[in-house]
Amino acid sequence: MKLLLIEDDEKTADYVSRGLRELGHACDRIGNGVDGLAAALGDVHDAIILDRNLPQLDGLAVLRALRAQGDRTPVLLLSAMGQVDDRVAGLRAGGDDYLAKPFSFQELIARLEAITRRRADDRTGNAQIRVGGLTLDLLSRIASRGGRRIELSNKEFQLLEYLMRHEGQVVTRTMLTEAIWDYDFSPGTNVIDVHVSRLRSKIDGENEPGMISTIRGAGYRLDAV
Amino acid sequence: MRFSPPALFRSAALSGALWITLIALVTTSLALTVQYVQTARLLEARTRALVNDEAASLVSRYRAAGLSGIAQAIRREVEVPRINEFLYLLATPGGRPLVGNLAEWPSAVDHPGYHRFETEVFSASAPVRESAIEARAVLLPDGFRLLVGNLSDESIVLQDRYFSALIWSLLATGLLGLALGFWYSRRGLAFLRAASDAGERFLRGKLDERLPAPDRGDEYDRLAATINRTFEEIERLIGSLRAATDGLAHDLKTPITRIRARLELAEMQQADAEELHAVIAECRDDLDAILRLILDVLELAHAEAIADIPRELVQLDHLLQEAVELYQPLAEDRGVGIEVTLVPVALAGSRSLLARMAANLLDNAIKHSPKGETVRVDLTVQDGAATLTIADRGPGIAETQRERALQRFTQLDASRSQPGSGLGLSIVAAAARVHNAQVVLTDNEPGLNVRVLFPETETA
Repeated sequence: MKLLLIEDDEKTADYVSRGLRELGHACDRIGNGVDGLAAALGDVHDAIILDRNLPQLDGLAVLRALRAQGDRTPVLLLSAMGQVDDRVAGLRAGGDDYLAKPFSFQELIARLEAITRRRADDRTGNAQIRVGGLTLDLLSRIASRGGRRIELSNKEFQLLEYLMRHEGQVVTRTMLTEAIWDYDFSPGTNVIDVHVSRLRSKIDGENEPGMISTIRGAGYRLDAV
Repeated sequence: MRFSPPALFRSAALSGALWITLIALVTTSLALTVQYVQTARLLEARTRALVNDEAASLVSRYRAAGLSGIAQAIRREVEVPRINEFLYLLATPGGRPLVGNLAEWPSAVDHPGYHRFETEVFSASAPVRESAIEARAVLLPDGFRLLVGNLSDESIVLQDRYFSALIWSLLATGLLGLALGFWYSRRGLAFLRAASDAGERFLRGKLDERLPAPDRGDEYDRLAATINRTFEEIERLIGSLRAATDGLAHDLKTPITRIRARLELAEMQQADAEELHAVIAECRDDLDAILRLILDVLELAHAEAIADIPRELVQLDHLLQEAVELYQPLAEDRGVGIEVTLVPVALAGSRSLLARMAANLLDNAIKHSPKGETVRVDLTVQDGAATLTIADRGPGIAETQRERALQRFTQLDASRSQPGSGLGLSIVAAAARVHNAQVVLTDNEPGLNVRVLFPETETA
């Protein structure tokens, strides 16, 4: 991916851009809002990582200007303090996702992949999602694998839908709590793990290979098998 | 050293007193002067009427009996002493006196009309004296001059009295005003001085400093109460900040030391790839815990710092139901049941903070519940006020420790072995405070019973 990082904090920018390059992504770095907006409008990127507090022109202003120009590049906002109000303001201004500092690099990668993929997804307004042998019918709300019907609770259905929509990508626990429970904090202990392991036991029948793998230190990934 | 006048002269009390005195002085002088001018005018008008009257009767005498007639009339008047003493002088056109009780034509009177002058007067009733005269000069048809006057000593007396009255009353007003003004200003300023002094001491670190607030119910009292509340709030925040810093340092030290030890050990033992992988995984878990702790601290700081959160209408029973659904599988895995009784409650608040509160309480209750026991979640409404109760059958919290459990970073000794940042209940307390709710911890016999009492006004 070709990414644009607009962040004035040297250390964060260093750490993020180094990590992205190590993963094989191209990453342009800009340290202020005005140049950042120019770079965003002047070049095509797969996604933009935009800090909220920037010198000259703050992140939200950059984002609004970008959207006003009709630019639909996915934007991941970064901020020092991730509270609901900030989050809502960021998403309302046209951001695709929001990540509060301090964050782990894994979280950043997972979210970047999610927002760049989401766009491809949006265009297909299918009532059915398929991953390998797994089928999810969004209208009748029926899940099945290889013709075998799977009984899921409401939350489990949402969980599976989210994982299937992000097939092959790492999805973090926070992403799941945000998307399915609409919590802007991560609940204690290992609640999400318990939900995922229940879901796993339901979709993987006897002798069927496991579709959801746990990625240590990051989250989960659903793959077609 | 810079020159500075003595404290008394710099004090606002003195300048306040001086202003009050000045105003009193100006008012008094104005009142006295107006009265003086009016009285003087009245007296003058009366004297002039008398003089006019007398002059007119002499002129008519002159018209009837000529110069000798008027001279005779004047002589007669002068010889007989009267209560109302008049001055007369009939003089030749050149100014030489013919008859009257004035020795010579006054030089001040050089044309007909009213005049006011001072001269020596001989009279029957009193020895020679300098007197003020109010007189009218008349030019008779044949060039002779007539002067009729009256002593206007009254106006001099009036003037004297005016001046002495002015001096005395100004003196009295001045002294009294100064004294009263000083006393009055001091009363307010004593308060300001006390407030400044208390503020100084507070700034120097004496955080329990408070202003005395005698219960008079006036503006000073209100100000004192506001300042005291501000001091209290600052003391509370600094206290919690101190506890937070200490607690944070303590809680970070443990996992960081562990990470360091593991890395050093791995280095020393020249571990192989598989062992290194295990070390990395363990370190990552510890780092995740640290990150989580930091996020919790930030969250708590945010909840404590906000006075006014964006409020929306939150369906509390739905929110609790969702939280229970989130924790149900975890509880089942641990062999703990959850019993839920909810009534519909909607309240204006922060969904995020309320969800956090519910999640933390559930998390705590399930974590501390022994296998086979049940966690009770109840939402009730009485008299329009909602109460959320979450009770477990765990070890509970000793009565003496309950207060502390709601403060920051007090992982109680009993729960030290359990995972968690120790901020769970603190965040609950902070979220409750934002919603003007009260958190009450009681014994569930056995276990912990946490009640969150929402005020009536917060319940929609």
